[in-house]
Amino acid sequence: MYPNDQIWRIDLAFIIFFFVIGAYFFVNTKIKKILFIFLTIIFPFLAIFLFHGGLFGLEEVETRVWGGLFLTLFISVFSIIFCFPIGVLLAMGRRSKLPVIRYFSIGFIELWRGVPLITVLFMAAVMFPVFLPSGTNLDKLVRVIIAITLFESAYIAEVIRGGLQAIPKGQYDAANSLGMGYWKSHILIILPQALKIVIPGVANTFIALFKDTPLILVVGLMELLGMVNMAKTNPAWLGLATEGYVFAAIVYFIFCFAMSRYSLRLEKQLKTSN
Amino acid sequence: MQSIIELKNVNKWFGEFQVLKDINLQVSQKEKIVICGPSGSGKSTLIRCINRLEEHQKGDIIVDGITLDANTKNIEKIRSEVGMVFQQFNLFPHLTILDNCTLAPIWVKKKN
Repeated sequence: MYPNDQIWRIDLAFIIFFFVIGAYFFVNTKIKKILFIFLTIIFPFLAIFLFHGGLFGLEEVETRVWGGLFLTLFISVFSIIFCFPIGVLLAMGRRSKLPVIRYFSIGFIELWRGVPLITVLFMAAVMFPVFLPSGTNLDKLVRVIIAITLFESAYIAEVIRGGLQAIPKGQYDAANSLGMGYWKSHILIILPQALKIVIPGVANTFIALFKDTPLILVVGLMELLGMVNMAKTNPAWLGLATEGYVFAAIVYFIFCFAMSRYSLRLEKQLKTSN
Repeated sequence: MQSIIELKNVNKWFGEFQVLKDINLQVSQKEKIVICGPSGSGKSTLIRCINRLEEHQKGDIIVDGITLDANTKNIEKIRSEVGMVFQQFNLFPHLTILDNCTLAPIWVKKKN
């Protein structure tokens, strides 16, 4: 388990995280931008540094011993950050006129959608290292995050493709007639509208992703539910399994409910038609 | 006077159906013309061809000295010069009116 005397590092990272998110709702747009850049670009590295250590005199803590709610959040946040852009590209690729890109996207999406997540996790944890040249060692947690990211990006791609298809052809014509190329018309005209339409679907997928994280139990990583499972075998807490599970359920509910409320808020904010 | 838009024997088919039959048209600079006809006679198709929102199968379309062909760079150059108003409203609904007007000049022609 994560060494007890180092737990302050996790606490510190999450205090910063929640403080910044909390502050985000109360400051003006200019500071919001700075906070956003901090959260998306600087914070991930800061968090990894704090969690993993090994630099500037911080004791190194291997990912093998990471666990609990912190691991749940770590995996879901990183998977969500990475799977979204990949999903957008796959969705655009599936509608591409170039056969190579189109068939690659279709193949990728159908392959990952057609396989259960548990299988993917097993492959990532057990099979994948076999194919690597000996000596190279990719951390198990990294492999798991890559697996979940690719798996969910296939779902996200299909959700976003639905949004792209809902954009009237006139919008493409209008963008083209202004002299915009493929990328410009997509970035400026098509994607902003399409992504707005698919907010409910994307939020749905993200919530599902969050609730899929307990599956990493099968490869020996313990997130929140795994921790409860383990704690109930501890003689000191014998007979308190129900409390543990109810607590885990409440924690999951709080995070999922927060995500769903935020997506509703986002929908309202971006609403332009009456 | 030099013609700014020139169409030479332009033909276009939608599948089996021929929409444009040997269209020859010369529009000189500052000239204003009206194209009229019953619905389905190919007015919009003709205009869409000049912007290459539709491809023509035969003949040449020359806009400002540039021949329209599969070369995408030419097409984007012409499209940024040719103004077009659609039959249906094609405002970009996610932008404000000001953004609708300034989007193309800023992002396509890089003016400030």
